[in-house]
Amino acid sequence: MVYTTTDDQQIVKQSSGRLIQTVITVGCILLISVALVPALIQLFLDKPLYYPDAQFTLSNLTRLFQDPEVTATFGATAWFCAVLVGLSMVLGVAFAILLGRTDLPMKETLNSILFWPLFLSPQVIGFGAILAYGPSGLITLWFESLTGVRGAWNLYSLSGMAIISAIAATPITTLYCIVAARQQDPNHDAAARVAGASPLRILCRISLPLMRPALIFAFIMNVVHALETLAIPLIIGSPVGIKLLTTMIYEKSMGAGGIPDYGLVAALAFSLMMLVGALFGLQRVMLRRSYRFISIGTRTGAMRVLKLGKWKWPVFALVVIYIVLAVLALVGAVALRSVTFVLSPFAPLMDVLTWQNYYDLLSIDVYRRSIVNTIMLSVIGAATGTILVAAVALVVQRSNYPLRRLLDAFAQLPRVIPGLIVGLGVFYASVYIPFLAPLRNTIWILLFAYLIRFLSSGYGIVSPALIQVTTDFDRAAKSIGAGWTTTMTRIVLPLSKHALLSCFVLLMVLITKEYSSAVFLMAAGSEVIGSTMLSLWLQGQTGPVAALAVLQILATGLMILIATRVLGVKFHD
Amino acid sequence: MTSVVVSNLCRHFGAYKALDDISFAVEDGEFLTLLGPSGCGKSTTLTALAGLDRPTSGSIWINGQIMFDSSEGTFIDAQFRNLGLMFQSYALWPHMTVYKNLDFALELRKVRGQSAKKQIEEALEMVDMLAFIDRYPGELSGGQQQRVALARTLVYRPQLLLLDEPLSNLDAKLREKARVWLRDLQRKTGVTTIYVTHDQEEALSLSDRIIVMNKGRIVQADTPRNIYEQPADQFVADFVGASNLLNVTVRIDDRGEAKAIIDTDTALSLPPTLKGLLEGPAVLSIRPENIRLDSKPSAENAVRYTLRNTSYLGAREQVVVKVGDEELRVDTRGGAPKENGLLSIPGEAIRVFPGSTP
Repeated sequence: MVYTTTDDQQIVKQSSGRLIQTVITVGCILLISVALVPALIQLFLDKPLYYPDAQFTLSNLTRLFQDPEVTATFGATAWFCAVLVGLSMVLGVAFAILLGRTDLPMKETLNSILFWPLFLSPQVIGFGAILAYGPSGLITLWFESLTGVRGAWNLYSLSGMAIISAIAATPITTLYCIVAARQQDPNHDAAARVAGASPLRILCRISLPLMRPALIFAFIMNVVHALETLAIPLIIGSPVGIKLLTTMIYEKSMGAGGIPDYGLVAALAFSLMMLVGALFGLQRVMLRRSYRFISIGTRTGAMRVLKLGKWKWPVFALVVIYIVLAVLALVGAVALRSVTFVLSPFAPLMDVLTWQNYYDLLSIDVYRRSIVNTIMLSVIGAATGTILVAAVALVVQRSNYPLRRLLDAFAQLPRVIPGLIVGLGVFYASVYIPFLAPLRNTIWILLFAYLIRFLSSGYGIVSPALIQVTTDFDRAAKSIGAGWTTTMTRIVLPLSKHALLSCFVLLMVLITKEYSSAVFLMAAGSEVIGSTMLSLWLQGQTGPVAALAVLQILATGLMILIATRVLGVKFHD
Repeated sequence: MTSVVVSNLCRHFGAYKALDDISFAVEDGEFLTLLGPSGCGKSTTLTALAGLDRPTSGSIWINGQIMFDSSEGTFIDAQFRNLGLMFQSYALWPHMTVYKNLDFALELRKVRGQSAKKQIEEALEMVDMLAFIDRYPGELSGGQQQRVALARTLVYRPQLLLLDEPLSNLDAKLREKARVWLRDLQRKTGVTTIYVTHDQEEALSLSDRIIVMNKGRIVQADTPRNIYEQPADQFVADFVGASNLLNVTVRIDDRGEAKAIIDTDTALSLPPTLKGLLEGPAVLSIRPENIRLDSKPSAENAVRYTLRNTSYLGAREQVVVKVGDEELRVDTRGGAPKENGLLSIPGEAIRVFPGSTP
């Protein structure tokens, strides 16, 4: 080959891709602002923001601390959070260590079952709890007939609903801690063992302190979760008059007893967000020195498992009892209720069996519609969501766009916005922003809310995965003459295929089980499974709710099965 | 013909000057190496040439075309420079076959069909990798990946080849082979090449010319031989091949004969060929292989030493000896040296620089 250089060379000053980067950045910032800005305006208005004579006021803020109705929820919310977080942390960390470090029998099976609640919607857990442990629940009645003791527990109490919510939160803790538990250098505890420490002492003095960054992160995610929990307090607490901040927001904005009190709702919403935001700020400060917890040196050999010894089988039995009582009993009760007229230990099962609930799902319009809508939203929402997440992550990670740090911050913002408030914000926006008005009362307004709500969740998967792809690949493409868009679509995106797929499936699962951002936005015709279940339950239609719940479980289960077994997606390591 | 002209190039990161007023030119077909320790600015220079990073000030011309000029605000992005850049990590796209990796550049240049195929096969032939055309990068060894990476930068005939430590991921034996092979290939194609490395042996064996950099500045630009034999300062003397650096005091007597005083007992006479000598404190540099142990008292600059330490390195022996209070490294091939004796330092091997050792 004779070496000659090509001369037909273009002279362009800037790198390409600026236009599309601007579109992505502005689009994403606008999208998230839609959920926040109208709510922020409402905060300072004395009447709903679509009233022409609404006046500026600060009373919404002062009422937060003066209105006895509001301040009454503070104590309950604090106690609810404390019980939920405490239980979830203790159980979740215990499971993380048992699954990650010890020789617990049947670890693989236990591992997958313990993560189930992560993919169950909290409503389903709530329904299951009532069907199993409520005053006329299956297990309650069984227990009473066996022992003769009545009222051994009361589900309809603050602690009751906190415990049930903790079941939903425990896998979150395990998820954040199991990697830290697994990644520990076996030499650390080998060193302690050589120094003469007992296994329990090793656990308390070496293993747990080394997991501190993960523990802090899990703790804060738990508090965030506790603060934004709506479904379980609504299902269990509301009938007996227990109010938390979230249920308060829900009831005030639903206009129970007159005009919706949007000003107070906005104030509550923002105070909730401030609280969550402050927690995340706290986490950043606390984890600033997290490099101290990074093990130095290479990991030698296979991970040494912590031997449980004589405790092996007792611990295994305890875990199995937990799984039976906290996971299988709830799912089982819902599943049983879906194929029966009534659920009671006194009615022989064969006599009450029926497929009627499932026939109803197919024959009654509202049910059918909510199923179809949910499927449509989950597929379309997951697809557009993945595209949005990918576009944002690419600009943040793979461009020199001047506003990329700001974009990064915006993409993380929805994490601190409780779902209820996203729904409310989008609702305000649909009232306030003219071009959004046609979307009102259609499923597309839900799509809008879901995109905002789950942006951070998807971003949390794609963004770290992109960091794993070396920028040398982009630079190589650039040096041979590829523009930004070409480099991204031909090189970087194909290389992050796995993360995008995980993102897609995660968004599908999240959208399928979502309810909190939907409750303000759905109307006749735009129902989704989550919101329909809630309203049917309040109407006392337990059978169809159970059938819908089973359908939801099957759908998410199937998605996860396909994703993990066929496509090789990993949600947790 | 001059191919690359870099003038007064600066790159600042806040107060830190990664590049501090760099100027050099590269001739057509030349193999130029930027050599220096990590953080010296050699890679920054390369990224600036490639157009992957925008320098703070200065100008870059390549083949008579302006690529960057801060006074006019011109900056042409990497995408449009038509240069070949090869990475230390090779950066072969793992989701594309060898063929696709090479074809991507041609596709962007709208070279399709038979002519694309021909160009790709030629490039692969040149690096002896034609047999691997349908493999994925993950199925190739390190040495094979390195060849494909080079073929990928050559396939579209760039006007300038930039190589960023391309051999540093190969093991020592393969690296030596690749060095010879790379030199031959560059000769054959005649493409102007700028090569970045911190490996002085690589730089000496490959280059037509070497630019030694330190702390964002050019310290010396010369042929490999001159760089090694006539280092411009104590940094070059020590970085390119190891040197013994000694703090001495220079005295010049009435007859114009210069001496380097190491301590009250020891002084070395300096040859008259050394230019620009000034009286006073200075740094004397001498390469370990130029010191001879077990010398006769009559030998040039014979000095008494005591043996401190010997390391057997196979082909040679590395010895540390003490002269006065100073320690000297000596390379010798003559077997184990005596515990005490005389060493001699040939005057023409001595370099003297102003200043003191760091």
